[in-house]
Amino acid sequence: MISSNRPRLLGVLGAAVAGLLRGGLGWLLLPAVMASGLKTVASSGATTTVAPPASATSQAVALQGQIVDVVRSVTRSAVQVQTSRAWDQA
Amino acid sequence: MIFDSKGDVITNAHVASGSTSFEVTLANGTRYAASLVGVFRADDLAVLRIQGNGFQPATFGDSSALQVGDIVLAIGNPLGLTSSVTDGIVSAVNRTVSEGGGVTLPGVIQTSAPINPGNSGGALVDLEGQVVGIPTLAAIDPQLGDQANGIGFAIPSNMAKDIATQLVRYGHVINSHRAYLGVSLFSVSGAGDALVASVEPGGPTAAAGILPGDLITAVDGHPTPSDAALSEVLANLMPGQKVLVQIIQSGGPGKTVTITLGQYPGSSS
Repeated sequence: MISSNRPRLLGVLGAAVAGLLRGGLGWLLLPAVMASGLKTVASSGATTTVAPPASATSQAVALQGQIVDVVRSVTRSAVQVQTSRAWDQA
Repeated sequence: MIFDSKGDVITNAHVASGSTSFEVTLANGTRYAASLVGVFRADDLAVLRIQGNGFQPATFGDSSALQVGDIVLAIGNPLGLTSSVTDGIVSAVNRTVSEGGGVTLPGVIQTSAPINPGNSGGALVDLEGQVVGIPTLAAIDPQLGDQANGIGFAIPSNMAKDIATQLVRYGHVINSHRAYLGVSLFSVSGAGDALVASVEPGGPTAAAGILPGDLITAVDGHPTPSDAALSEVLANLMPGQKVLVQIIQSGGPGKTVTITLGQYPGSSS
């Protein structure tokens, strides 16, 4: 029984090792593939904070202001309906 | 939402139906007793009226101009929390959604803005502050049996404005733009087909010889395995359209009849 299981166990271990190697090679190959056509930034381990462009910041502020204005305007027309059955339910 | 300066308020039919008295509270906290102007259950819309002046009606936009990705805000009273605002985008347009109870809504806007109980009959607005939809229902996750996240539906403002205008003017809908077969159906779970309960005398199907007890198996090439499926097919057809209807009578062989679709009648209550 034991001897008959061994080849299977070895086969599973072999497949696992082969999978790890393939995975490792994949990681090794990935930067090379990317370097051929894409610009990448090597990870130094440090966190770099990049400030958003000033135009993006001003657009976000403008959008937020627009949303506040819309809410203020539309709320004047908003109502709550209560019925004899229950308060408004979906 | 306040529909016009006369004090007409648009909401969902499922909010107003089954009630005998109504109270409308404005955003400033002023309370008014309201009366029911009219209901159109097929589109889940209703209009209430409050007496007074100085009302600020909402501006209705063109819902047909909406595009997937447009930012929208949902304003309502979810769980009783007055004038709550949630945000999202238009996730899809022109959905056909079944509410149950024979109500199928065509052309509905799907949004990621959270819609909860209490949002019904409120407003879905664009960034111009125009009402583009009436939040009406949220999707249910069939596996969890709970509300799905970020899948809400709103009746498009063009449909809401059209129906509300008719309700205000006539007290009922005279032009529903909805196809009508003129049959009532048994709601039989797992029956396999739409089982005819009764046929309206003089209606579109009566002339075609359809009888109570017949099975309607397909309309316009679309299978109708249930009353809900038939309702969904009809929601996407138009009055006056000629369609082929496949039926089975008395367990006999199937046959096909041609029917000119009528117009779904408006109701006032």
